[in-house]
Amino acid sequence: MTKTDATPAPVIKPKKDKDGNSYYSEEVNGQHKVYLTTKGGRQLENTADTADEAYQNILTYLKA
Amino acid sequence: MPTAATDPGFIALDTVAVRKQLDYLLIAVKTPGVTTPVFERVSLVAELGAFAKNVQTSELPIFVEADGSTPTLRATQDNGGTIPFATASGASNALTKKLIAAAKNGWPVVFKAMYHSASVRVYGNGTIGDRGIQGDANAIPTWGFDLNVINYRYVGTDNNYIDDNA
Repeated sequence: MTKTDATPAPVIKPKKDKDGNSYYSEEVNGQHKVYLTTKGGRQLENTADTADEAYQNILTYLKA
Repeated sequence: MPTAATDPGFIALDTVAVRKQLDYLLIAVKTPGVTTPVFERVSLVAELGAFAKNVQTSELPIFVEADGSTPTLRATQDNGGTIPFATASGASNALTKKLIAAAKNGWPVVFKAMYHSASVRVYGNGTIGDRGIQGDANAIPTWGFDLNVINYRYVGTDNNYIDDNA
């Protein structure tokens, strides 16, 4: 059996905001993607031109 | 005549279904003040239903050509499809409320169905159909929905469209 060398995925440490949401961002094809998990366990994601815009979009969505 | 038993051997790894991650569904409902769709993961009570395609083939047989041949005209029509899913019936859940409202008012939704088991994702637009509370008197009630697909693209795990490949 052949053995394939696997590259370990980089460890991403999520940040916490004042509301207890944990989030992290990554850049995909020049767009910024933010993944956010609320304190209650809701999982959300948004893609925008900047990470800040994506983060604000999620907060607006949660308040709506 | 009986056959003598032997120890089972290992089969090739690529024939074994390895489930590392469950299939899941992300849905975005249009929200005022938000510039791009915010996708929220649906809490599913069971495995995500398969993307059931609605493909119809029409045919016009015995089409007589000038040379006397009789080919059949065929047309394949892709009418989207449906992804059924169910969530726990807590109507206090914020996303469940949004889905019920989207079903009632006919609001369009954007979705990403992540079929890890098939190494494929389905991205597209659709509408929500509310199938109501499922289960009889003895069952734990769940809330059933249909995601009626308007348009879709298949996406591979490398984040490229599959249907662009020849």
